[in-house]
Amino acid sequence: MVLGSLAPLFVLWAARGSCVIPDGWLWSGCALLAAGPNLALYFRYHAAIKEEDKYPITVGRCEDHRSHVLTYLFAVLLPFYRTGAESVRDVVAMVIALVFIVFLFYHLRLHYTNILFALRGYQAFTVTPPSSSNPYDWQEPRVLITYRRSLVPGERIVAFRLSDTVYLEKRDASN
Amino acid sequence: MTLQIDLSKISRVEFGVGLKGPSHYDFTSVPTDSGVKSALIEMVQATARQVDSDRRVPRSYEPTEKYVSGEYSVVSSGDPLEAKVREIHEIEALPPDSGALTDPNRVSCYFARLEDNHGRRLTAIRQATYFKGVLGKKLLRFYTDSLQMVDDRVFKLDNDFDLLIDSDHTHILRSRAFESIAQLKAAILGGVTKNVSEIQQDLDFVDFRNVESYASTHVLAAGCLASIRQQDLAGITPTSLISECKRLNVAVNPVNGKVSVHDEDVMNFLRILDRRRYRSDLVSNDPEHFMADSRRKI
Repeated sequence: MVLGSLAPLFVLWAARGSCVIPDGWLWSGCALLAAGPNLALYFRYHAAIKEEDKYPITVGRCEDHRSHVLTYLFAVLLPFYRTGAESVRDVVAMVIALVFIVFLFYHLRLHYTNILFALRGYQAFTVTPPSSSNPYDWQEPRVLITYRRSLVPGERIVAFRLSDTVYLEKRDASN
Repeated sequence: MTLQIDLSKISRVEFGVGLKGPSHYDFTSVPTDSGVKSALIEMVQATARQVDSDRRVPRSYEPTEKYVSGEYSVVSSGDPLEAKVREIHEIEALPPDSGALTDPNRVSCYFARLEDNHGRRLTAIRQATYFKGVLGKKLLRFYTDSLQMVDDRVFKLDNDFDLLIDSDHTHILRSRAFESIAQLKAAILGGVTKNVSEIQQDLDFVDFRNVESYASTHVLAAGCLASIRQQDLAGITPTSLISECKRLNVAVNPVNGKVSVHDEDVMNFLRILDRRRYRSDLVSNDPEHFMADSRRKI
């Protein structure tokens, strides 16, 4: 999911080109990096629907992540847009920077900022369940990708599991 | 008894396992495909048929009663005996753990949580004895044109569940499984003081101090108290109790206006109140005393 969320970056690299890497290799590599993870996400999404892999999420507290798109824009796209790969050193530096960004996105759980979800009209929230006296209740926050514009505390939403921490509420799913 | 869920309109099925830790249990959700979900629904339906087929009013579960496998009994929601299984039923969100089955020795039970399209939930639990029973076995499968060893780790679903929990009751088909999953020993010992207090309301002429002290450390006595709490105690008078104890050779004495039992006769006294100790005068001049592990009021 992390690589999938960086697809616009790979498209940008392919468009800018490089003096060091031939276009054929560059475009093939960027296409693979942009499309491959998103294809995997697509198949995972359909597998979750097919296997009815859905779970209830009760909204206790929720955070809107539209601001994270700005983080994404300024931390990822703009710096790389301004940087060119004019030498081997530039390419190596960009790859190292990419590795750091991938690690940060994974560590900060920002991997759901996928442009494909945004294009389909989905929005991401981090949902923390209401506190529970039941010792077995899972209290960890989860990311909910949904078509809703806002969430109401106490609301119970049934969403499909994309990963253990990311869930997607299908637009026409019955709750 | 009818279950509080419509099994023909199931909207969601979740599979989970109970993992035994050093001092506690953990319950996690394990992802499954649609085939497993269908099999779980079939198991619940098979269990529900056994519950629904018993048209009599089901017996209330009593900790001191001996039940045969498949004998149906119920515990009402809110009863301390079913507190632990009710907690499992009321989990709002189970933590997912795809790796829960990597250490099968820790798996103590497995369960299915079903939800119908009215939001009503049913939890079905089964001890994992046979679930992991095929692990390590030499399994074969016929593939293309020859038999092959199955190298994968294989688990086996049973035909039905031990317990079904809905909003109103815990429905028990195998009492031993219920006792294990509900951690009944701890629940029974923990409920001694409350049970004595409730019994005392009807039997205020009995001194239960040494009974409570004894039962706090003896599971059988604590179980008796949990059963006695469900018995009809309102009609017992001091005269009838003393008379019955005398008839059944249980020594009781009035102390400070209350009936007090000797320490060594506490269990026998409790069995009298629990209607398990009885006498037969069939043989002339040779009364026979019996202890009933299982009894049914007729």
